[in-house]
Amino acid sequence: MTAVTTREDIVVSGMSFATSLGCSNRSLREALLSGSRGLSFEHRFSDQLAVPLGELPWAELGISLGDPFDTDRILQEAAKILLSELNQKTGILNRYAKSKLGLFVGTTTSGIRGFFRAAELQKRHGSSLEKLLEADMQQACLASELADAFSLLGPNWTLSSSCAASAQALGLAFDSVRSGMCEAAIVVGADVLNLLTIFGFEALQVLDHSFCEPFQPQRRGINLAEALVFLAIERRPEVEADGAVTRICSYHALSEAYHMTQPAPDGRWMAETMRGALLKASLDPEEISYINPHGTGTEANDKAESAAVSAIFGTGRQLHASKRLTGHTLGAAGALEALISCLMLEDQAHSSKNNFGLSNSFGFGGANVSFVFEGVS
Amino acid sequence: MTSTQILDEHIHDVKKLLIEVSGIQDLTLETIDENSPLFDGGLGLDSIDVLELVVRLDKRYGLKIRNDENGKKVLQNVRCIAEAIASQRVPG
Amino acid sequence: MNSVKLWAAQRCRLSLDSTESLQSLSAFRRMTALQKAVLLSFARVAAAQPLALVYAREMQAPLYFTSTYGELGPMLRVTQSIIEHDLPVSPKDFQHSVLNASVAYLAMNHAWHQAAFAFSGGFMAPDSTLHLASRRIESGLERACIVIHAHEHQSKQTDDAEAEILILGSQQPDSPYLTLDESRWTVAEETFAEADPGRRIFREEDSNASIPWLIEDGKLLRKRLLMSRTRQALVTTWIPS
Repeated sequence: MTAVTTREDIVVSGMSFATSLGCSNRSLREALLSGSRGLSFEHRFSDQLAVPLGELPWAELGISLGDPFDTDRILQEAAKILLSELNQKTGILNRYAKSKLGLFVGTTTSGIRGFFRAAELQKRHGSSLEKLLEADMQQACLASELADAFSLLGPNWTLSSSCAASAQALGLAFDSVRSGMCEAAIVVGADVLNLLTIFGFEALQVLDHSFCEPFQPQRRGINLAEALVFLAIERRPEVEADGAVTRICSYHALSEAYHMTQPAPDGRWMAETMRGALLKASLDPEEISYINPHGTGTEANDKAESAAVSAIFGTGRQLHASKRLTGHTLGAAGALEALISCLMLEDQAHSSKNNFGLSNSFGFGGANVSFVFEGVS
Repeated sequence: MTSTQILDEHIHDVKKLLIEVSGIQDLTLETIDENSPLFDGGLGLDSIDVLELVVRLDKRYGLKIRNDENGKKVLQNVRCIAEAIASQRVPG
Repeated sequence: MNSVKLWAAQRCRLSLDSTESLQSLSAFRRMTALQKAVLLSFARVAAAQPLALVYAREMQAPLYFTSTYGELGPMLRVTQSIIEHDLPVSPKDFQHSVLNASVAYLAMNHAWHQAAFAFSGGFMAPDSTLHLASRRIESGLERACIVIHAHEHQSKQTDDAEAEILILGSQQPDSPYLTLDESRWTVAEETFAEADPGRRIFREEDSNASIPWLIEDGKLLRKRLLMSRTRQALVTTWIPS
């Protein structure tokens, strides 16, 4: 049988994004280096719940906010701006046969507007639910909107495996390019703040009501945030890079099959996920110089992930738990942390011999993904 | 009502709530021992059953149980929960 | 390129089929209709085509779950509770509202540790997920895949959901099989119509469009075209071998 044999480098050839720490490489990098938080108690939901949240600079994007339920419009408007920006930077939309460019979206609550509308209609008119089902009540509506607006004729898939959504999207995109299924791919991680996730995580009692402190003794839980991240995934020879780029070495995904919302407390499946990614990259743990953990700030995640990291890398390894600054962006988190790993590794690409990084995403339902990246000059 | 009667009533109510939120068919008012632990081989509840119970207790009695040491004490067994309800109601 | 074989296909409906085989599962009591239907479809394969499952486990098949609307019940209960300011929302409903809840329960109940992916595909959900599974097997990324497509029916008061499961693999088991021949994302409707009069077209914009199940009356449609509102198209063709 045919196996995937390509040895060509697959790289993150370009990125565009909007985060609570800004929308440019420079602002994000500066915030990460200076340790500034994108989180605040002052936000558009502050009269609903007094917790820190990480909001996008909507005004900077030129997008006006509507009522708290108006989430899909702002998500889609921002996504179109960012895809245009990605294309300006990389030309990815014009350099490949239209049918060979894949789109892989990771999101948890795209389509949520339709559910609120259906709930409202049912409350007011008592309509039968079967009649209320509409085409926009699904996470995939962001992908179809983008495909329609940019005439993307290639395949598109929307992953919605909770907080591992865009990590899975990136994994599948990487596979599709290295196997030749697609010539290149665009990965999207996108979630905006909404009342479903805010009140949902509050009911699960995992929101930290002050600023989150992943892996610190005083950790009490997560801070929610929003982000949109677009990554261009291409084969190395197709990319004319004038600076450092990040190579995707490998990823490993598995199911914990342990519990709906909690990881195995000893972290054994998290360790297995990282081990799998290292094995596929043919790397020893010592060769990894940068680790971006899932690091949400909940007791369950941080305990298990600490145990898993220690089991593989030994104790005392420095972790870059960037959710402390960005907040937890749910479906966008995997892509955002891949992007942060890229920025950190590219910074060191000229000075470091072993410039490999590892990034973890662990979602509800035991959806685990670990990536290994390399910053190359 | 004496305080014992009030407590018994709360115990009865909490048991009913537990049966409702857990959906465990073998659980009945008679089979639930108010002194046996909710977790760890006691009543066999999952953490989500307990969170669901916490939300119902908040809605019905305004009883706030947070995910901290104090909360863990209240959530030991049915009797502790009933006592927490009683103690927050008495002063009023 | 590897060829893609169908190893097993089953479809079942919660309101019509016995759930006796599932009653003993520890989490059954708290599952949603969609989750129960998914587990039921898996149990059906285990009973009717056990070898396919044995092979799939051997080949480390990942789980590809998809649904057009996902966990409708919990989603609507949580959103309803928010618009009515009936807070806190139910933690159980919130936890069950995520798209990968069913497939996570499936993995848990069968100790299936391969990756589980939850795809939202709208009207195109079943075929686009099947398409990905097929392309990954073709290109050697997987040796087998388990594709599950489920939908919760809203017409009745009682729990009612339906799920279908297809196991695909690159090698050929000792049972009759089909080959997934072709699937594309762009196709002119006219070309499709001319090419084969024996085909069926599913259009999202049809006012009575329902969920386009892959299995009908126990069989797979030999050739079908799915057309979304935004004119995305997917063709799925099976060749009897």
